Amino acid sequence: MSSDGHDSLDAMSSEFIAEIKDDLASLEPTLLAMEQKGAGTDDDLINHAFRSIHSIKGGAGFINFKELAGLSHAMENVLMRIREKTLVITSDIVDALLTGFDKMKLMVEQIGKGEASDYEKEKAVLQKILNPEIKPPESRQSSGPAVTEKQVVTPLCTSTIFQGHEFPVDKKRLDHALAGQKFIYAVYVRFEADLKAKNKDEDAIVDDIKSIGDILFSDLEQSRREKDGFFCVLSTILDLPLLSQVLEIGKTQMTLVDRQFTGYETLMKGISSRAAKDKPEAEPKSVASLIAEPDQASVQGTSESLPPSSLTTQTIRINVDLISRLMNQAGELVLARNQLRPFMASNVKENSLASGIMQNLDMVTTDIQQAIMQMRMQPVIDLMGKYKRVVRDIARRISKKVDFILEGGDVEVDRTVLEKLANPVTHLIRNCIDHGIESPEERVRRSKPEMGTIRIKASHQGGQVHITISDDGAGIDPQLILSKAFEKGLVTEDRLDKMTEKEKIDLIFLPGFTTSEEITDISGRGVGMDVVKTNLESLRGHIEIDSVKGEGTRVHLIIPLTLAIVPSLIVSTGEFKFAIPQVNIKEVLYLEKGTVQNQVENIAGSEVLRLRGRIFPVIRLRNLLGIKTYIEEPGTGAKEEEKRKAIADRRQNGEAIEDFKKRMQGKDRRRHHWDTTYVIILKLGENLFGLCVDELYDIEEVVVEPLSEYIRHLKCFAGTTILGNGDVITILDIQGIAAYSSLKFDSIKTEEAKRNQANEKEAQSRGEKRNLIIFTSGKKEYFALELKSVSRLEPLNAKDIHYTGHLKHVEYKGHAVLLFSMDEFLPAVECDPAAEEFFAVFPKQVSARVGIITSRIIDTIETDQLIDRDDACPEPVLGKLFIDDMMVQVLDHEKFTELIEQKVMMAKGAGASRENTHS
Amino acid sequence: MKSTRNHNFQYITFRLARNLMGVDILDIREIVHCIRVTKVHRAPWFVMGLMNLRGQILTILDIGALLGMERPGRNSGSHVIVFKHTNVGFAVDQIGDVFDIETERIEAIPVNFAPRIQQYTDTIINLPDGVMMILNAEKIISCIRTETRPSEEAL
Repeated sequence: MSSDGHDSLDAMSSEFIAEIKDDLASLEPTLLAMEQKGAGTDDDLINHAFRSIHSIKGGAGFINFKELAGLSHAMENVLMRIREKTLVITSDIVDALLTGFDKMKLMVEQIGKGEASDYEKEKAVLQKILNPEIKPPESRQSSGPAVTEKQVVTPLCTSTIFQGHEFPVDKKRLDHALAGQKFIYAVYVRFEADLKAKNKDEDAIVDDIKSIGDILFSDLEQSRREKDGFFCVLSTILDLPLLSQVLEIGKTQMTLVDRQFTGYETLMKGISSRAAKDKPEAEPKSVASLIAEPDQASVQGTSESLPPSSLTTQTIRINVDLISRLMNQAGELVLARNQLRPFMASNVKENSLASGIMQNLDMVTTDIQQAIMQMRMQPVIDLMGKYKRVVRDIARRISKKVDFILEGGDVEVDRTVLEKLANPVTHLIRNCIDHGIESPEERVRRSKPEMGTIRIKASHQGGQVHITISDDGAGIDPQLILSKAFEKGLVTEDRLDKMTEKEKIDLIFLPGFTTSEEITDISGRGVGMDVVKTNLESLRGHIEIDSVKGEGTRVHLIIPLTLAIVPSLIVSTGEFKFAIPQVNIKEVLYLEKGTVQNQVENIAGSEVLRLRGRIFPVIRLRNLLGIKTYIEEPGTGAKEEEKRKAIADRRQNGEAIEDFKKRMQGKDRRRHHWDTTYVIILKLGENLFGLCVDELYDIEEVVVEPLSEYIRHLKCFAGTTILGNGDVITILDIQGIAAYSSLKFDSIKTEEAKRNQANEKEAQSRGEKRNLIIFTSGKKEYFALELKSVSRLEPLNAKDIHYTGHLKHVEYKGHAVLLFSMDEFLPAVECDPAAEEFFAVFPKQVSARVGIITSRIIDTIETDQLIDRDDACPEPVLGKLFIDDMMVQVLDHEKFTELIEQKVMMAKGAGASRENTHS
Repeated sequence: MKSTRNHNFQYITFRLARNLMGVDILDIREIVHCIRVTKVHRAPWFVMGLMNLRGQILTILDIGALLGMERPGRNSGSHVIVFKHTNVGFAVDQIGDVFDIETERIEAIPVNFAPRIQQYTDTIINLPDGVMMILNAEKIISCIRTETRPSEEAL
């Protein structure tokens, strides 16, 4: 690159470079999309690529970066031929364009480093594409960006002043103005009315204009003294009324030259202006032509090939270092606030203002912190979008066909997290292509689509980001993994038979593991998955692999949103406090005196918690960290070291309670940490386990400090932090704890399957939860209907019942409701006819208005008891239940409804026959 | 090495389990009162814990353990000496004066000293009222790389 003009990068240049980078970023996906669509590429896409290239060219010209301009010009030529349909898009052409693109990227990165970049090779490749056919016109070739291109703009004629006028303007400056999303106005300045009358001269008005924008054209010199005014084309960000005010010129004397910019609306959309800014080149000679097809421009703008990030307009560029500094300061602020809090709290009594001030400080601090956090958030597409190219390149190199799909690209993650994700995700994707997706022939043989698919899906789940990378390739063969691992001596022989499929697959996380026979430039060096895993763990993330041989592989990554400030629960064991990140906490249980022993069971040396029918492994933080516990003798205050390792060593269940009662009654009032305990149910991916701690404190926003090198190898800790009171405490690493306690969870799927099985089993053994309404018919016959099948209950008086033949009716809201008693459906005693009061149960989902007469409504209950079905039950009865010494026959809603319908039909029939007899 | 320096040395003296010791003042960032040291469970045996120094988290090393000295009150000290350019310090039992010592008085460590002391001290200084061992700050700071970590195997 030329050294002149780049040695000192002024603010303007860096602005342009940033813009060029943006354009480059949007160019790549477009080129890839073009390749995908091949000859069928629509014009929108080509135009978009064209526009990007052109903006780059413009920008490069502006900062006098000749090489970049030259290269973009060469690329532009190729694209132009494509647009003219004299060149059909092939992979080779896209390859050439992409090489050019890569070179451009390199050039831009090297800006300011004073290195000359030689782009002859790339240019030659591009030329070669053009050469076999007719050479592009020489004039275009030679018209370097240094030559000022003129472009004619036509004002939008709203008044006669501008009728028939066209203004030649400097094209690059126009482009620049449009790129800056400025309005372009044509203004007519009258010497008499606008200047002399307001005590201004020409220079003053020029200065005025320059202070608010840029003069693109002016015929001041020519028109001086000859006409009564002069025309001027200017670019500014001001809208028309404001411009009129600033220049003190009437609105009728100014007009936009481009309808694209007439309203704020289009301006705010930004996207359309983005499309429009390059439009002058797309239809190069006159802005006026834009007017003819403004809609097209906006359609192009919103076409899917544009990354969504370009949709935002109200943005400024901020140095990343500055944000990092701000972030650190926010951390300090949080810390200071935390330290101030106890001090202020103690002052509340003396000074009522204190609590208000504290609250205010709290709010502001939290706000600042959140805003800065948001600032650091980046959509994952910033990273993941790049993989489209990576996938394409690798696939092409090893002649595989791979499609890349990204879902949830707008999910936002902290910048530092995203940066650290790049490496592992790249590796995983390489693995997908190299090991996962088969060759096209192989795929066809296995009756899979020739084109393999790699899918990345990002989503937010409970304060964490889940990223799934899946392919529909060959999957992982656990047996192959095992034999490879055995060959390399990573597994001992005696373990071979004992490993589960999941454990076998997890062997690929071992350092030095590789399945590739030969080392290619893509993979096979055996520094793969273990690095991926370490990388993720450094992010406090979690990785899991599910794979079905022959069907594909799914890698599940779970990563935190941010690393810097983490809301954490402060807990303690013994005299030591620890922080547990809140995102890892599923729930917190308090096990009361005497119940600990009932709910935590020691089975063969391992403790488990029974909760809502599930069993969770339980780890005691005390044992895990080797914290010694002491039992304090209440009388002497002497401490005696606790020696038992688990409750169940001595005191199982009943015995424990007995023991406890004895102690409560007797003099033994020793505080014992096993009397009560908190169990924190922690989630590790989808897996849950319990952690026993002694005390809970507040949830604090802790500022995470990394572990120093002396303790970095400790897996149980994720970091350290300083609490409000100045104490240093460690932050527990849930994953490390699970690993350290050798909790080996199955993969999510199998774990889920297990859980579902367990649920089913539970449902089978216990019956599902039902809400039943129990009523009696006659004296001691109890029936139950599910509450959900009953619409309402009504008390009835005996005299309200109207009889027609043997049919009973009751009036309800002006309608006659047919009544049946239970004995009409099944063998039962009839309701006592002498009784004065009845209750009617109105079932749902019955075609006619029907009620069931009952003697009494007993209760509504919720039960999950298994309903005992025996063959002696009559048809509509589901089974029998025993509730409080009552035998309740639970009615099967569907069958019961059927019966009612039959009855209704019969009643109709009876009515009809009765009518017949009457007549 | 220090013996190549040609000026007089200044040492901060301190006591550790009744031994008089010193460390080059140029290796030291500051000396602070030893406040609460948070024990780090499962940490290597030579790590005493963590301490809050004006919002920075210091790792406090157990010099006594490194030198193989038995001393009571393993988890505290009167002062903490913080090494320059690091967030690493060590606790001592008592802080003494700053000594100006001429080169002539510096002598090699007697060969019968324990290997641990040989490893982490440079020289010994013959003072009128006793001898003072001079610590090698560099070696102490890098102890994490030189010491075997039996506890790590367990993790």
